[in-house]
Amino acid sequence: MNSAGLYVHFPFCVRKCRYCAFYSVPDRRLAGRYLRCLIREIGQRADPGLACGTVYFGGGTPSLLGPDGAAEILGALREAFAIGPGAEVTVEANPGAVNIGDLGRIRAAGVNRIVFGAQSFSDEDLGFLGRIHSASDAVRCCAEARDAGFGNVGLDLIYGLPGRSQDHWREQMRSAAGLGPDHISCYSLTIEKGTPLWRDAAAGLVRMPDEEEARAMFLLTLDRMRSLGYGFYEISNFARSPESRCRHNLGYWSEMPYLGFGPSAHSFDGRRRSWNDPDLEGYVGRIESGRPPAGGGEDLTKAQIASEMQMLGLRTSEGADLGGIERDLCPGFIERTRGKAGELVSGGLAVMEGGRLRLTPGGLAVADAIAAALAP
Amino acid sequence: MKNLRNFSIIAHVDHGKSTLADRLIQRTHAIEERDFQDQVLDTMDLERERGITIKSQTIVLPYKAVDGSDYTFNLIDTPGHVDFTYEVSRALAACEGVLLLVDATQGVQAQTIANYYLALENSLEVIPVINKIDLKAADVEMTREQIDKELGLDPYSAILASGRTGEGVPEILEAIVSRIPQPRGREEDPLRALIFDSQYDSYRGAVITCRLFDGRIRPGDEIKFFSKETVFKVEEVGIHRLRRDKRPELCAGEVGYIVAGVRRVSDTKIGDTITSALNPATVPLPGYKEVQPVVFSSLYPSEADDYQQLADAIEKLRLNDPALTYQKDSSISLGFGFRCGFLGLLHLDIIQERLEREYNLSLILTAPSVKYVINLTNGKRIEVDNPILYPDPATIESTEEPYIRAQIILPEKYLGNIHPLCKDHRGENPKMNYLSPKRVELSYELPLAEVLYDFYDKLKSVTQGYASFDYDLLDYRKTDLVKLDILVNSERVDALSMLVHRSRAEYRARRVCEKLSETIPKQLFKIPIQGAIGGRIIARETISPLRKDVTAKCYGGDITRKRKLLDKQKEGKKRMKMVGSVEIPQEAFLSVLKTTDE
Repeated sequence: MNSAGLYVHFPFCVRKCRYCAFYSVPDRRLAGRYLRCLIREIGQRADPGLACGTVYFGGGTPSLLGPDGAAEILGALREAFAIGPGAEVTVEANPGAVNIGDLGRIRAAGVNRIVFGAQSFSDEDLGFLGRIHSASDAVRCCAEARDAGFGNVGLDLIYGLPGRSQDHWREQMRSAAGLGPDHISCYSLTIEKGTPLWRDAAAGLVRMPDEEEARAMFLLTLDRMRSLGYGFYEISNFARSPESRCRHNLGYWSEMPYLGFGPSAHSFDGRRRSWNDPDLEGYVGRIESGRPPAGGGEDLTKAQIASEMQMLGLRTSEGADLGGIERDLCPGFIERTRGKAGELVSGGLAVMEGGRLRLTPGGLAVADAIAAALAP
Repeated sequence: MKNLRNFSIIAHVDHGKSTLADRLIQRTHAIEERDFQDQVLDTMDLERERGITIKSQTIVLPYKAVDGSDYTFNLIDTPGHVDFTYEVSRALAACEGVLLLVDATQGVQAQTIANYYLALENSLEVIPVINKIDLKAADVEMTREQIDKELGLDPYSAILASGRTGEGVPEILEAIVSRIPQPRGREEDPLRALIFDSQYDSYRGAVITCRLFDGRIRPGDEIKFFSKETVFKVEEVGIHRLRRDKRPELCAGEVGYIVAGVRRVSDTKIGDTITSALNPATVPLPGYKEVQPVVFSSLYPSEADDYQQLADAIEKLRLNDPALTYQKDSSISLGFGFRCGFLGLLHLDIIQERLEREYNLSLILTAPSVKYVINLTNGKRIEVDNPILYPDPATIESTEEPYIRAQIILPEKYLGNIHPLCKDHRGENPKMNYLSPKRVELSYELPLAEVLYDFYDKLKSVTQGYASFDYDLLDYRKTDLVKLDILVNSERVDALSMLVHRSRAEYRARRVCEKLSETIPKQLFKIPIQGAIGGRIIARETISPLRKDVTAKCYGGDITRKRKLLDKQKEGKKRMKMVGSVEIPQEAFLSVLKTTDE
């Protein structure tokens, strides 16, 4: 299981959503050239001995790649790396930007996990978010994906929209679960600087939930997901069984190595984290002129890795492995955090089990502050 | 010496001293026109921004009189605020006369009177100047009457002037020649020079400003101070003309500067007399009354590493500010710092700002306190100005606090507002004197601590700014003092303790708890903030815990961003003070010092 993850970025969208600050461009004219660049970058960074257990197509809207694009990239990856036969291969799909008829061919290309960005089953919500699809599109996608042979289907949801009640959110979760996906991600709507939503909020046109409301929504999410049969395993992620957890993302959260391809994609080799030029044209320019795509990087100190491992671990159902951090990275770590950890435990924010500090629902709601308090 | 005149301008705050000084400087072409700017003698940024004078400045004005003779004037500019009265008295000791400015729109005010008395104590010639006569609201007749009745000066000796338009300036210059006496003193006697200011120059050491009463001084001379045996060799002498202007010598009667390789700031003492090392005078000049600080506060660097820097900075400021006193202090919550004494809150404010600006320090201050006298059951009498040193209440027999006599001059129509204000601040023994049917001089005996807290702000607000205020220290009186402790998360924060009158404790405690609850950021658990006297809780606020603080998405690149944020927060923590497990930011400590709501 100690193998690397591969991430492929596809920075094109049909249209940019109102809340999204991710790097993507709505102009797909570059897509063909971009595909060539990706293939070339994969070739440049080939390491045929490197065992890889997961491949993840993210974006942007990677479903726009289509079956041929996906197949071509997967082929290049298989040539460049040692992708095992049981590898998890995920593609993110926008219910409004996937050709239902293509699902079978995408599956046939080797993609075995598909995650639909359903976001909500209320068309009003979808309009507010600036999504290009309707609720019924997502419903149809789910069914068609099963028919096309996907054994692992995921749905992404967004909650905490302005003025939406807890009941409304409960309804969305129920609708999602009713489609029987293997995996559900529930993201609290976050206002990212510079987005249209941010401008509306700054101008007072929309009122985001206050801290108390946001907390209630978060706790409701944990509670309802469990009742609906989806086990919590990370702040925003729930799975029908441990096997249906996203192995690729689990890799990020346990500081496993990964290679990212495409603009702004990050890579990590266990010590050094680097990132590609975030700008599409900049990236294309680099690749086409034969230069390496990396735009920057940093060598992490052991203390920084420890800090990340703790922060990431605290977000998961496994908890932060304080014993492991102490042993591998940071001697004296347990001793130094003992007081703080003790406070968290006695305050009901965490439990300590076998050298692991695991947050309770109340602790998860303030996981960022806890990570800051414990940072080595 | 016959053609030398040393004088100051004194006035109530804002009556126009600096502007009139500007006109005198321009009229006599004392400095090049291109070097001129408004408020030219206020060289500190702080002075220019606030429009106030903090430090005395000296400048030489060359003047050709109507009679054709050339004169040299030494103008010593002085501050107006009540906190800096000592600066005025220092300047006056170097003069033979003063211009007493009275704003024609305001008339005689509390510090007009106080400064006038200072001039009388120094036996100086007083030339009254009625200023701002160009303003519409100017009332020259009223001002004349006040000069007559309230100061007892001949109202027709007053010169009518406007610092803004320059009107009356020629008459003032002539009056300086004809009415202010020439300095006395003998050039052939042994050197005696009074130090009235001193600045630290990182290349030259102390630059001493002094008034020569007897003898003369040249580069190469060996000098010493009366208070010390160390001998220094004079490197340079000169006069002040905005910049230092080197001269071959200074003679009796003159005001100028001396550079003598005095490296240690502590070697010069303002008020000390300089004499010749070879042919010393036998008796020093009278010097100054030692100024006694009345307000005390502890200054701590926000970052413990800056302690030595703070120590050096305070020592340098002290060089030309003898009123600033300091000694080491330490606090459990804030580490090492200094307990400093100040002449008043403005003085404290100015020192804090100068330390922060000129020395790039970030400071935490503790609540200002007066000096209390505590009579112990064992018969001992101790002085305490620092709550940290307050003795066990079981050992206290009685406590005393300093009182002042406040002189307030105000329009009669505000009287109704003033009495409740003074009573509310434990004022006693009011005396009233009608200066005119519409103007009242009111005197009240008040605890100094009350005046420090918020009296002045409230006085201004209940009289719409029309009251003027001055005070003298009176005596110590029995009081009912308690030590108010502030507990954050049930732990006492020693730097937030304060000594207060029992009747004030609850109000102050509530205010502090409110301020802290607004400025300490939410943390993981709820934090009680309490005010207590001994074991008794008299005020309480609660900071509710954080309820939601978690990033929704944390994948590939998010991880780097998130960790960088953690690194940054860790850096920020260095500026937080830990009390138990609670992080208290610098702003929280400073917020409790604010007495007014903003």
